[in-house]
Amino acid sequence: METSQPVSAPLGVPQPKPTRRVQLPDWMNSILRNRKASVGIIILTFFVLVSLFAGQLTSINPTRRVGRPHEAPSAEHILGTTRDGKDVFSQVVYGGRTTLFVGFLTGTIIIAISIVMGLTAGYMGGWVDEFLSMLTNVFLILPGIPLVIVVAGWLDRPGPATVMIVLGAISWAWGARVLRSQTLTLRNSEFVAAARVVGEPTWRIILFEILPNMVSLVVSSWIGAVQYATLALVTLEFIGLGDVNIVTWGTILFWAQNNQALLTGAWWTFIPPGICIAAIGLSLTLINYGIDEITNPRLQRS
Amino acid sequence: MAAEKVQPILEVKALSKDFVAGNVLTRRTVKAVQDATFNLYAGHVTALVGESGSGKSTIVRMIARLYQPTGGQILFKGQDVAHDRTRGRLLKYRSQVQMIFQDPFSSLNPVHRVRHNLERPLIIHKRIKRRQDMREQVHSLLRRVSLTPVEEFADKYPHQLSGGQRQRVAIARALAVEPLVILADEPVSMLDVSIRLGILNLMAQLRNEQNIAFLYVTHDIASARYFANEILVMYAGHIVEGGASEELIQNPQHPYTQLLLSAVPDPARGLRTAEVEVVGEIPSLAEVGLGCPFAARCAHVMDKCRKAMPPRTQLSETRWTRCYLYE
Ligand SMILES: Nc1ncnc2c1ncn2[C@@H]1O[C@H](COP(=O)(O)OP(=O)(O)OP(=O)(O)O)[C@@H](O)[C@H]1O
Ligand code: SF4
Ligand SMILES: [Mg+2]
Repeated sequence: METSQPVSAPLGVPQPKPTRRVQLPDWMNSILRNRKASVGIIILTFFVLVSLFAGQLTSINPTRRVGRPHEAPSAEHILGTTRDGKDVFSQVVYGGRTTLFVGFLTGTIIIAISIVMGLTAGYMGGWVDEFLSMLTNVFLILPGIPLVIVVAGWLDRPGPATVMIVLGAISWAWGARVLRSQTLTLRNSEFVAAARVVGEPTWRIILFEILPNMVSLVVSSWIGAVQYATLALVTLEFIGLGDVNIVTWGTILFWAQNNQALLTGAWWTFIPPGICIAAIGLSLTLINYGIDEITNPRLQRS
Repeated sequence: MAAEKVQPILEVKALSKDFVAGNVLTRRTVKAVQDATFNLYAGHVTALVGESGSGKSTIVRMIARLYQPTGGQILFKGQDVAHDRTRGRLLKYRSQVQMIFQDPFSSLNPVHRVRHNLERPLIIHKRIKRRQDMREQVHSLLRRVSLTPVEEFADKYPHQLSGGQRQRVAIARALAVEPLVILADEPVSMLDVSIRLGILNLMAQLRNEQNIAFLYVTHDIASARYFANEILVMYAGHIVEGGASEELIQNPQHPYTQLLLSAVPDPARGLRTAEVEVVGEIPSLAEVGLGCPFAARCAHVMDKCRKAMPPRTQLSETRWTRCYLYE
């Protein structure tokens, strides 16, 4: 039996990086060993837990008038009240739940479209690729958020479901392009040729041979899409283009601004949701930096 | 070897492949393979020898139905398969013609265990009757390629194996369907010299015991001499000479084969010294004109050599070449 060390692969042959292995233990280990990714995951986990246990954290209904207008933080209302006398802490907790849920769902819709478009174009090649790449380029050129603003204004205060669909429909192009080029590389690898010789059908090659080798890219594109979607939704709601009767971090800010909280010094109505939005943005950025460092060893500090 | 008298299992006739390379502005045609004709026989190893870029892999990939030929025929048991497009017919062909790739580091998907690589062909080609037989089948395949203890190897990932072990998995995968033909594209060139012989011996054993027909692509004339019954010499997209291996090596006829063998110090001495070196300049395939591709480097070049490709001359029952010197 051979005992020799594996010889190194030739240049130019697409070699999956050792860190790209989808063995869960390895994969989780490297994430947890990465400082940026760990901090990001801790922040994100905190907000997910707060959202899940919103009912345990506060018994106050965020849409009910429970105090006088613009009460400063006190033992009863730890983050004070809004101008309508609603409890800000409860609003931030429940608003976070809605914001995160809609953000993750929208990001997932975006990445799902990116995967279908990118993998199909990259694997099929030929006119299918040419057509889908043209479509991708068109959507890349379209200015995303301004377009959503125009559409949202035209739809007149659309609900979250509509905004989600509109965002998904116009934001998939960047992910599709990244995934397409990775698919192109993997398609030419010998293991795909080997799978074809064995007789694997095309759909199985795409789903079980190619996709599992792009897990880190898919995950980081997904996180990027979630971040983009969350910030886009908050922006839309803040400028009053969403459904302002739903409590989210974006609409809390909208009402704070509408009620001139800045002028009246009611800082507790806009600082807490602002910090939450920044923290979520930061945590997702940190996770993606971490994934980048793990999958691209050159970025790692030695 | 009396194999020539029996019916070939696979016949390649006037096979050619043009690649279109470059973008809209620099578009040019690369004639990677032109007019390739040869046969494969059961229990017989045919070696395809030639320097890098001569078109060996392109021939193999056409026979493996990975590339669509530009022209010519691939007859398997007398039936042309080059134009089979339906999944059913392709699957039937793939259940009898399998391939081993050059680089065992990229021919096994890093995300799948060894077991998966062997189960898939068994499932796709319905080689097992009952689900319970799967385990035993996988283990018996691993035993055939000497990867023991089999339970242990079945659960490993490619990165847990050495190059030689990976190539054995690739061979087991090819064997799973009980193929009649195995196409081996430089199966040992990426492995340590010390373990090449083990893989070659395994393939020789399969040829002898299972009567499998092999197409063995290599740079390495010594290994072709060791393993192959017949050698085909390829130069710039053309097969320029063919014949029984020992005879061809002892007495090369085509000027290119002569040059090739003179560059090899002593092919009998061992496996490690006999890599085909690039001698002189390889013509750019895009510029290969009508004539003999070797004309630019040939000491015996004549006027007609530049005008048309020389026809095939049968030198003896087992030897042929394409060169005007023997017309
Ligand atoms: N998919 C492709 N598209 C365009 N040109 C190609 C393609 N595959 C091969 N070629 C070209 O065809 C020619 C023959 O290549 P091939 O891979 O068959 O050579 P080879 O004899 O196997 O070489 P090596 O010993 O390096 O493996 C080369 O010039 C190569 O650049
Ligand atoms: S055909 Fe002419 S150029 Fe070609 S090898 Fe023979 S003699 Fe040389
Ligand atoms: Mg090759």
